Amino acid sequence: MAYDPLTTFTYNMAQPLGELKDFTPDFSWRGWSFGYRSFIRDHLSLGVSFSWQGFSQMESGTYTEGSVTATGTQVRYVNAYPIMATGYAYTGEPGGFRLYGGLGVGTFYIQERFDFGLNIFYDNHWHFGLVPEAGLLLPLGGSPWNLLGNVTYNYAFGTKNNNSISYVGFNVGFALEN
Amino acid sequence: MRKRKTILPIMIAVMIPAVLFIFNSCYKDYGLTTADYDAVITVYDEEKDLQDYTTYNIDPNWTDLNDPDNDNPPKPTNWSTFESAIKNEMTNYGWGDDLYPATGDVTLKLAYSETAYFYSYCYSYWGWYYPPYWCGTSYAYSGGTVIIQMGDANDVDDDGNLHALWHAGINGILNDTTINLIQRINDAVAQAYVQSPYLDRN
Repeated sequence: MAYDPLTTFTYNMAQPLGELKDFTPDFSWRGWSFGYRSFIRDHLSLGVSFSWQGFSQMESGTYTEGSVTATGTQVRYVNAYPIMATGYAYTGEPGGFRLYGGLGVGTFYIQERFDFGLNIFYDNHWHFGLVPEAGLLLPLGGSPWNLLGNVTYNYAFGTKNNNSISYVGFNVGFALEN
Repeated sequence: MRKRKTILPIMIAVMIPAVLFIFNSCYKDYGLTTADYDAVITVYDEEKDLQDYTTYNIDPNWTDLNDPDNDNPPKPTNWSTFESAIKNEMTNYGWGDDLYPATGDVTLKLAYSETAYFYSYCYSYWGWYYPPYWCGTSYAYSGGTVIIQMGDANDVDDDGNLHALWHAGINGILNDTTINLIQRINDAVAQAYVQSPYLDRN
């Protein structure tokens, strides 16, 4: 008999990497994720997850490119929404401490926004992406609740018109056995 | 495994409105003030040596970019502050006094836009085209904007347009009603010249 499914919810933090770090280098404290995992075997689950991670950066100064010079305050935003089909393998048993690891495969919806003075420039686009994940489940007493913690590597592949997006996530929350 | 009443539907019912709320609040508020939205952009013709020009005049007729065909639009609020600041900066940069009604080597033409979006153009002959067209390098201006354009008074095309040598866009100022607006206008005009050292004749 397979284990009870898990409904998960986490508060997410993230460190931008690569070209995302060039655009918005600050650590992100704004994110969340929720998901559902159904066990197809005792130690193997398939499921879905939906997340949001918000990155932003504000700078003031003077910028020159060729014959153009601009002075003002610029604010940059990137919102990443990974939507994943997930598969994880687990150690241990329900009711006990468990480690798990696996992969999310799916799509990222990316919102990019650049504010300069009163001017706002938007670019929204979709990317194919992968999210490998490793984490732990710690049961809370005899309840169906588990403390959930994980680390994710979020990678949205580049497209013809847009760069790749990547960041490392550090997430804590809860998993409920249904 | 003991059966438990699932609360998954309840969690989903809570999550959906939470998600919809968060979608509309995904942009961090940095608490910017009106002054933080001021922006100054300058562009110049790299193929011209601006040191070849020594005198200037300011055309007293402003252009309303929302009504470019109107030859006599009302001037914007604080127009005299803008003109005084420009004259002060030109003098500081060694250009002397405004020669108007006489014509100098260059003519400064002033324009403004209130609550309108428009695009300026790559360096070409002077013209206030609206709606705008793209010709290479383009910039968006929104809200309250003042444009200062310096044209070569001796290089005029068949339509009477002066070859544009330098262009400054000051954005955001017209929208503000705070008591420090005069200082912000002076600071913004000064910034346009600070980031244009090629205009300095001293």
